[in-house]
Amino acid sequence: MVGETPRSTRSQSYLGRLYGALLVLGRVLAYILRRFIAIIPVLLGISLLVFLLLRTIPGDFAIVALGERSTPEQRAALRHQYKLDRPWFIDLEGGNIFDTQYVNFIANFVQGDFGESLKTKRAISTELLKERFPATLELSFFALLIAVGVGVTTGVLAATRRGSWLDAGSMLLALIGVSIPIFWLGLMMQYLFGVKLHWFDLSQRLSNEMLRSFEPITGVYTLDGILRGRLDVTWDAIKHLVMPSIALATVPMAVIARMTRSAMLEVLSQDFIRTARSKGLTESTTIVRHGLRNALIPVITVIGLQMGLLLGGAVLTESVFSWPGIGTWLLEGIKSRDYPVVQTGVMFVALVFVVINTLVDISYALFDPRIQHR
Amino acid sequence: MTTTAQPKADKAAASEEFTRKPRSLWTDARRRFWASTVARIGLAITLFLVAVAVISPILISEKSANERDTRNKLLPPSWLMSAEQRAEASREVEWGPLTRPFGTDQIGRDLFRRVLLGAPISLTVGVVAVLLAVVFGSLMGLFAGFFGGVIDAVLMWLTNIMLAFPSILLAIALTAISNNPESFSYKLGDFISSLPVLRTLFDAPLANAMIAVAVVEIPIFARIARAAVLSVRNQEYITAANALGVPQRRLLFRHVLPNSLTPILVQMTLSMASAITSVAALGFLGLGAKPPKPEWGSMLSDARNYVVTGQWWYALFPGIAIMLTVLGFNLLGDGLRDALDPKVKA
Amino acid sequence: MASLIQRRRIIALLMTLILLLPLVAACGEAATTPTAESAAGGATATPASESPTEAPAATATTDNAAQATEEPAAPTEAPAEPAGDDSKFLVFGGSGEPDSLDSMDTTTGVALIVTRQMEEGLLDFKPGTLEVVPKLATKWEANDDATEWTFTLRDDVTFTDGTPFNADAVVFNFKRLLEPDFEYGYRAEGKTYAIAPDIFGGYAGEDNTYYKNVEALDENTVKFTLTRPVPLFPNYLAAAYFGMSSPEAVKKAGAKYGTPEVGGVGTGPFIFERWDPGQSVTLVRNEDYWDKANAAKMPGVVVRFIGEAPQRLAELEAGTIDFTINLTADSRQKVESSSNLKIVDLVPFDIAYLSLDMNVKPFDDVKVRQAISYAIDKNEILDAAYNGVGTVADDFLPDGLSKFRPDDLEPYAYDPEKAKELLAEAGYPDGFSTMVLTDGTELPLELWYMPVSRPYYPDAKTVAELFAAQLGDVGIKVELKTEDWGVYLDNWDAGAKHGMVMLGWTGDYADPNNFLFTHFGPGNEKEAGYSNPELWELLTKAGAATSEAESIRMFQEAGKMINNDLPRVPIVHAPPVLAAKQTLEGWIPNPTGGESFAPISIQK
Repeated sequence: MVGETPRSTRSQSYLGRLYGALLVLGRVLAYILRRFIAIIPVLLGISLLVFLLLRTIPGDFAIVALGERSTPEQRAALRHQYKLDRPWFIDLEGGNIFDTQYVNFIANFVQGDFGESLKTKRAISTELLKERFPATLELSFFALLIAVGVGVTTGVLAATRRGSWLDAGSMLLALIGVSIPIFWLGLMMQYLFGVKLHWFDLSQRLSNEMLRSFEPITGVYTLDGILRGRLDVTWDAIKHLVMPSIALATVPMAVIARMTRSAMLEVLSQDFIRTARSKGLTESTTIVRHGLRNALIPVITVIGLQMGLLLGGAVLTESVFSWPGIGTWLLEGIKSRDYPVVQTGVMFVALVFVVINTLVDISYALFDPRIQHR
Repeated sequence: MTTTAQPKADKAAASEEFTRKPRSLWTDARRRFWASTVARIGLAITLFLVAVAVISPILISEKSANERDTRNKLLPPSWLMSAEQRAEASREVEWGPLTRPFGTDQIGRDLFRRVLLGAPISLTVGVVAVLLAVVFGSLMGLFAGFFGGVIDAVLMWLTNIMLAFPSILLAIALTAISNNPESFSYKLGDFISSLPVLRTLFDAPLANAMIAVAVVEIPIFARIARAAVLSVRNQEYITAANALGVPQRRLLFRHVLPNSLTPILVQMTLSMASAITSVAALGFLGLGAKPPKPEWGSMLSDARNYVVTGQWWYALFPGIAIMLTVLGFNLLGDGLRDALDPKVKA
Repeated sequence: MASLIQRRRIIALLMTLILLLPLVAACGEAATTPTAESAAGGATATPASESPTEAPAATATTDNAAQATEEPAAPTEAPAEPAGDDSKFLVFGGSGEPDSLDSMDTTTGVALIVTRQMEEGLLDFKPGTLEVVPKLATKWEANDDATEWTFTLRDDVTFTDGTPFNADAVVFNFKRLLEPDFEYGYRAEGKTYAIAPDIFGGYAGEDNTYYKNVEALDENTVKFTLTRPVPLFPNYLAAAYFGMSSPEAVKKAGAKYGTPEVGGVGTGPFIFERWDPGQSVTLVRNEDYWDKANAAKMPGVVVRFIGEAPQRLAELEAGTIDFTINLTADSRQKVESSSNLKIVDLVPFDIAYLSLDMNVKPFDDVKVRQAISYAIDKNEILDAAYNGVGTVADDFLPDGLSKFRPDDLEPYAYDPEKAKELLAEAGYPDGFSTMVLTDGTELPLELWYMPVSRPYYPDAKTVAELFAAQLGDVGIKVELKTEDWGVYLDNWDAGAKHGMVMLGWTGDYADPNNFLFTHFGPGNEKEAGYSNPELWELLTKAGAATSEAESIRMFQEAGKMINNDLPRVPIVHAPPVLAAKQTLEGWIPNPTGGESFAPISIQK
């Protein structure tokens, strides 16, 4: 559609067109800004929830941090250091009304000062941003790649060969795919490809030798391998990514395949496709250029939604494959009562989740002409 | 993790379909439902599972499912064993090809019986979790939609916050809190696991996991109910009833609630699927039912250790059971949605 | 229409941006982290930047020295295997992640097996035995009543950071461990040194401690002064807890000493290189090791953290690890039937037990405790969860200490009928399913099982299910529970674990009190409510007895008292299942569960 629309506006002046474009751009930017402002109360609510959750989990922070044999003075000193001896929300008696636990929590988080892990005594910002998040990001990115690649292709093929065995078969697989517990799928893959066939290692992100001989930059090992000129590392990282990312990709892949198929079917039944065909364009050009392009809107929306869900699925996948990402980090944190880790991790995941969902909403609004940006 | 259904259901709620007269809607729906292969398969699977869940506790005692036979631990399905192997396993009872059709676990329990006894547990967990979520969620949504204003803003703010967490993560966090005997959710779990019928199926940790999963599903129902109310609220007959002085409460429960039933029904089916997976996932992470309760997720958590040493059957059968259950409810939900709201395509 | 086109372009751009978001985020991170890296990595960067400058020189000199002086065993290998050959690092499948690499600030076996490679003690065990041999100390002597111990130290040793090893370093280490107000203890920042009360009876100044003072007599002589006779003091010091850390490294790292960023610095055959949290610790060979004859054969060792026993077996089979410990009993046949793998034998020096919390009803009744002991079929457990390898335990002391066991003990053999009788006598003819805490709350009866595999309970959950089934046979219904291992131990120490608790112990050194006083001494009062001052006195006296016959007589008497009171039910003494590749040589595991990896090599 884009390439062949008659330029009815050609008569307009260049300035006029620029003005129009700027107007649209301005409106779009204002809309995006509004959406982002709208998530502030949600983020505040999340921080409140995380704050309260952490204070409901049983166990004394100071005892966990210092051990049973610590003296009351040591514990008091630690509570003071972490400002746990301050009131929760507002301080009506002390000097500074806002020198409270909650306000400090927010202030520290915003400044990126996450404190130290009680278990490893390391800076949480290092663990989160240099190790755990890149690991989850890499896993999710590859899962998304697989889900989109396989899902869209399958959906298009199924739609173009509607009613064939390929259509029926792939849609049956997709139905099973949305219903499969991914932790179970992971286990079964470990058995088949790891234990039986010895194709892949059962866990870890890199082989021992690679891990030792290689200094990561971003923490995304496939990327770091390229940046450091160590393609063997990239290759090794990809091999370790195969099983977990397929497991994580399963559900989104199935959802995307189904959505692509139904969107394609709707588009393919429309007039302009018939026109394209009658113009003598080859079938593949028709389908890709005209069909897929127009079916993309709902598909991309679904992909966006799945991006957020990948974060949740990552918790389970990481647990099965001992993947050192945010999911296992949080699970260990909860189990060992590493409060600073849990607090930061949950807050961070929610933040990423909200931002992704908002971006998806925005793109959805921009794509769908029926939705007005009021 | 079938949360993807939620925006669709949202749209379904907002569609104008509800302005039609009930009778024709239901007749149409029934026709469409029966015409759909997907729906029929879903219904068949679901009915089969319900039958298994009802019958297996009658035929199989929990005692026999927990009976240990350490000499015959970790044996493969008996139909895969040679006659000699079976003869060796036989002691008081002669082993045939179907004596242990799913094999045995690490202390020689019969996995077939345990998987079957997992059915009533998982189905009940799903039903109770969804019921809890529906009751609290739709009440929230109804109030928010009907009264609007500050109530609406606050309630929707709450649902937005809850939807801002990946659901499994929120469930994990909530389960962690439930370990505190002082917490409300612990007490609720304690209460639920002491109710007459549920007592035999639940233990306290399982009940806690279930509550956590229910809480996670609440905002979905709240949103659907609210959307349904908003779409109905401005219809003429409601305005008319309001003008005639029908009390608000009556309006809410007589007119608005019934009209939001269809999308809620569809979502309930889909939520059954996600609740069952989530509880199994919590069990897999060691946050659900405790041994020797034959809950599928907890069985998988045990089986995990034996997958890497080659005892694949231990993990295979509970996993298939979960998958089949979830598939059944997903198909049924899809079928119901297509039947009740033909405009939205799956 | 133009605006439509424009809009579509903008949209396309936006979409691209959204799809690229992960990448952008990653890059953004890369752009922001250098500062964080240089700040946070300051501590790590130093050792890393030091070793390159040092290492080449060191390699050159030691290689020459090694070839010139000795190492007759390795001449065929040495030329073919330059130091730092990446493919030749040894990979050990550890059963968990260390909590700290500061040997004095940890009590966990997973940490001590690593610290042992770097932080050596004054004394050591002869490989494979419990016999005490010199290490950093060449000789030691006591005064007549064993209250003053003088150690002569080696004078040719430096820590791997260059700090000299001398009497001051030893004093520094022990003051750090024992004296709460010592400047470099970093207790306020979280260091706890939890082992001190277990072995020294308490920290300096506390009532039960026998520690009085440690001082440097001269450059190479250290004297410990104790408040009461401790004839086995050298045995204690040979335990892995008392590894020497470089004082300079400790001062520099402060509370961070022993954490993943800093690691540990000792005098050992291996040097800390890196710790990838959640994954592994890497150690490299100390090319300047003071004991040339016992220098590491391999250029380094990677200790992987693999919590699940079956996972370790799978990795061993796949060849991704070279040797590992604490496999499940089932693994034995699998390993034996494999042509590439072998089982490495070790005599059990441990005890698996079930503790009964005497603070709660009905465990305050000795009849109930005895009934439980009769109801448990230890043979079934040994067969099912240990593949029959090991011995049923009637007493807490393992075979290595059998001479201290009472010789006329009447064991609680499996007898469910007797158990029911005893329960009926205690007022529970139909068994019970709840417990009543001291404050009157009634809870479901709990049985806690460990979430990890240890030599004594390689598969705790399976054993727990067997306990539950066996106890169920006599009418005792339990609820099985577990939690994170760290929390499990903390709660246990705090006396917050009620009902029945599964735990075990691997001996640190050859001393009956390492088993008996540890479990039935005053510590138990808080943990599980067993308080018997008469027994404490007897055990203390037995430990301080200077004649062995006297000591044996008193320990046997104590054993009988324990058997009658039965606060903990002994279950089995089981050897840990250790396995390695066929090509691995030189691994001599120690009964205490910690040994040097230096002599290990892999043949081609």
